[in-house]
Amino acid sequence: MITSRGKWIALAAAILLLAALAAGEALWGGRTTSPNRIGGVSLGMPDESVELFLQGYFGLESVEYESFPDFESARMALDCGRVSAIWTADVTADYLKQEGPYSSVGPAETPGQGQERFSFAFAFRREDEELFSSAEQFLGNLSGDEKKKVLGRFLFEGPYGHLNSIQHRRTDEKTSKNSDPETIRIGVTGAVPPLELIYDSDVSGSAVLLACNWARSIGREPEFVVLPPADAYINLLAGKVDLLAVSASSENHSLTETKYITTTGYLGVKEYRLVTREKGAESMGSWTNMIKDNLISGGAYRKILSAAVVTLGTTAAAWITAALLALLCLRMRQSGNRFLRGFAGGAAYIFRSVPALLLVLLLGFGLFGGSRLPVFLSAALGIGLYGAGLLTEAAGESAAGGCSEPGKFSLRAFLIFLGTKPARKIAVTVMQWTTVVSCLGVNDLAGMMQTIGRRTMFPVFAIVFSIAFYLVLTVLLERIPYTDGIKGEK
Amino acid sequence: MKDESRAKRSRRARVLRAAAIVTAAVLLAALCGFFALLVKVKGNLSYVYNYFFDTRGSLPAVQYTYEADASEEHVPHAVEQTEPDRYLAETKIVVNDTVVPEYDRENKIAVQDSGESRQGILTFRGSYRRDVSSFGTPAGAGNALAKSWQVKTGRFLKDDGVNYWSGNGWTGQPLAVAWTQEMKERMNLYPAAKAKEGLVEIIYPGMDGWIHFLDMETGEATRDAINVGMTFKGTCSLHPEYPLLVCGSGDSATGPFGEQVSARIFLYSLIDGKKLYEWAANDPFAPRRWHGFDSSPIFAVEADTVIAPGENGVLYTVRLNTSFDETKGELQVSPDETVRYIYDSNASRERYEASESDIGSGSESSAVIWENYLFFGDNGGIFQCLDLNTMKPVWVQDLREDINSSPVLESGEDGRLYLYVGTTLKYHTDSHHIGTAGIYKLDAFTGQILWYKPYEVHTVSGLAGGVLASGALGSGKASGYIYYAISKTPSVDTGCLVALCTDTGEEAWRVDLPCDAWSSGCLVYTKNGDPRLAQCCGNGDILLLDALTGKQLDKLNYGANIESTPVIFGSRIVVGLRSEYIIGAEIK
Repeated sequence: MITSRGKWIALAAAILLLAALAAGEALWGGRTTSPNRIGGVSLGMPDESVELFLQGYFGLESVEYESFPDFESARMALDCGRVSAIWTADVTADYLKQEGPYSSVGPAETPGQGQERFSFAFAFRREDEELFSSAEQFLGNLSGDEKKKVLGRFLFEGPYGHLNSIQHRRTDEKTSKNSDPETIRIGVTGAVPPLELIYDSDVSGSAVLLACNWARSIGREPEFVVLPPADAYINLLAGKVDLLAVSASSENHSLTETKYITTTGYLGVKEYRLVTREKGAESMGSWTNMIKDNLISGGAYRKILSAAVVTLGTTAAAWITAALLALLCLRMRQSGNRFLRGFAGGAAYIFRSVPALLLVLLLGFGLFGGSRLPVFLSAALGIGLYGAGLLTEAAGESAAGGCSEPGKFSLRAFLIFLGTKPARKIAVTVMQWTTVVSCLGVNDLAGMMQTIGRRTMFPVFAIVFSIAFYLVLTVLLERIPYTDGIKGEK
Repeated sequence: MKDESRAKRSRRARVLRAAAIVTAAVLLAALCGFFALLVKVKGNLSYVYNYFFDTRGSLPAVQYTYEADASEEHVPHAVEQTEPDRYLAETKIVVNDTVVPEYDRENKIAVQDSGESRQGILTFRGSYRRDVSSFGTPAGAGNALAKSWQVKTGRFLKDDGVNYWSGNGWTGQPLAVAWTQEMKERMNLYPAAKAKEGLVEIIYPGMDGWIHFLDMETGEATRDAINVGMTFKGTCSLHPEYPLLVCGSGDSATGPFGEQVSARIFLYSLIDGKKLYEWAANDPFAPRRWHGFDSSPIFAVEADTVIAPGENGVLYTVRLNTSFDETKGELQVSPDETVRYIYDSNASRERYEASESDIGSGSESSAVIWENYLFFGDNGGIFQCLDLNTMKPVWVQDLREDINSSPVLESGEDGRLYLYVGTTLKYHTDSHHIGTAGIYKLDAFTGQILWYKPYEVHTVSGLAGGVLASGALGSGKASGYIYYAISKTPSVDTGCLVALCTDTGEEAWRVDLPCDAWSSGCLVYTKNGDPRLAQCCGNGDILLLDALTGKQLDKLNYGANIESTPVIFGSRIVVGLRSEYIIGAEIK
């Protein structure tokens, strides 16, 4: 049996070992380069399809495609040499050329070369005809010079010089439809710089400015909601945003009508390009960047802190839910009513048998999907159900649970049971399952570190950091003396 | 007493447990059976009948008789049954984006010959009459087949952004051309290909969005493939005099921002592989939003005009003003007149409205030309003869079903012209998705139906039964026969290959196939003039048959669907598979 001191020593040793592993990643090439590896960000198209598209469009025989959750991650991957190129629209390639040591190539041959392949436009839900019409009118009335002035602010004059002057606050995570008649909720993804630029908590960019001008022209205040590119259209259709600032125009669609409508395009795209770093450009992959990139740059420390709080909060909420539901189940199991007893036993059996991830998904996308409950609560409830199943069975089987025999339920005994080793281990299990809540968009620590690790190309460092956090949390959970003050039978 | 009661309870519990296990097993078996049924019927229970019951298959040919044609002139003209007004509610002529009431072509089109080339197979079915299904004669006895080579191709994202087109599809016939040495020197062929005597070059646009160039003998690349970035399902055409390739894309292209790029028709110079011109994309005059150009275009050489029917419901003629400097090897086009012919047919409109939301009729099959008359059919079942110099319909016939099979033009011994046209079942199905489709013989001068050979077929899951292959018209010892492959008859997974008597439409012989066959059969004649029929099938078979008896002489299997029509040049066969390979084989 390992002693308490032994645990702390083992923990310290593990953390040191993991730190060495992370340092090794930095020193011996955690950032690898693959010549056929291409990265990018698509608006909802499956990775396999993008890979196929790239092969066909650029005439590449084999492509290893890596999808990134946002544009900055893709660019960082290029900078670090994780991918040899990223695909972008021509406007983004031109923007990047202004920004740094990047060059780009187009396809050898494309249909309509010299013509516009498509245009970027605003996208609305079909039922929002009034908003759509007003945006159409706004874009139609915009003279060439005005349009150039707005778009050119980022496209032709350099982006970051203007960033501070036209920042727009983004809103917090939104879970319901916009019911405020004074505001317009504009969805942005950051997938197409410089049309959308997302920097820390601010958004800007040509399309953002255009959308802003339109919103104010109809007397409404713009609010920006940052969406993952892959979920942009789902969020639009679900009504969480009123429009998407950047969407491909649907003028050329030849199949059935799309579920959303797009305005007349405000900026044409002639081709896609493969953006590479110019030869001789200094790589950003040195190990000295590791800590800075992961923990400091881009406000990472704030995000990590916030994610840690989310993880602690989710764990606490899930544990409280589990305890309350377990209490309910145990009381029902003591009931004289056969049906209630059977129901409680069956429910506990099902809750502990179904993987917590599936319970979270069921609640997040099913029962509380759309806009009925904040995703954080859906996630906590899902994990809480799982914990309740485990707790009910453990308490039922344990003499310390106070309910192993019919008619002998005791709240005091149950509370004491919560402080026992079996219950604490269940608390640790509940805490571990919080690592899946990012599937609902909850920014927990594991998910956040994964995102940061992918973006900075130091995945091992990010994983090690997460492991250390959870190890410490486990020790704390197993050591918190929260039932020591409750006296009673054990 | 207590023990007895306990034993009774125990027995009852055992019986109950056994009953529960049996019930669960039966339910599980029923569930598995239901799932297997769903798999069998491709997920649609309304097709259950089709997958368990056969149709009647071949039905008796129907003969039509008319009073003698009063017109002595051997030129197309309407009779009472084929008056255009009877079927077409409106026609429209658009010249360079302007709608005009009348049109009179400046450079008159008058295609005297069939377009058959001395250089090889330069268009779908070898000529603009679609009646040349092979080039040259096999060196051997023509009784066996042998595999030669295979080349990997690829796939291309469909316009839905998820599925993809793979390999080569329907009609997808490769072109095979034996260039003159002078022309080879001017083109961007690899040195080895330039130096090779007797090089026969395969030109093959694929569904992977590339135009492939291969040595027919070895399968080796002869020059850089062209990455067009749009999928090609149909068959391209090569200019009979210049190294000018025209090919129409069969589907829109999509991109990672969800955009769609409209299908269009391309002109490429084979001197340097550069695109010279493209048109028909996202046409505002098109009655259909769906753009696709599977039809193999026609070069009217004297008028320097290319003629291309589209699935968007527009027939295009484009005056190219081609210039070819032989000494410098420079090929250019300066198109200055695009004429569109658009029509609205009540019959096909009704059929479309009953079956899909998009209105209008487009053409997927390849047209036939004779002098200044173009013969073509559409997806709405309308077949017509158009005067290309006035862009006015001469006669119109309603064949009632989707016309995917390309017509074949025959010069009769009586001085008249005849057309053979096949249909696929799309509109007139019964409640079991069964109906008739078949082959028509038409008088090309009047449009009158002479006979109709019907087959009862299935149409399920968007895949139509009937005739997708084009007819192979016999000559020499096979004179008097036309060969067709029929799909989805009598069972939903089978088809047949038939030799029809051109006089009556009755079957001379029929060979049952274990699969669909969309590929058109190709006739080859041995040195002795014995006709052989090469037929590619949906199960990957290439069959070699005695065309007089239907007896199978040999078979190759490639294990993957062959929708494309092969090209046969001498002893060699080349065709593309859906499994992303182009294969070469040999007739021994």
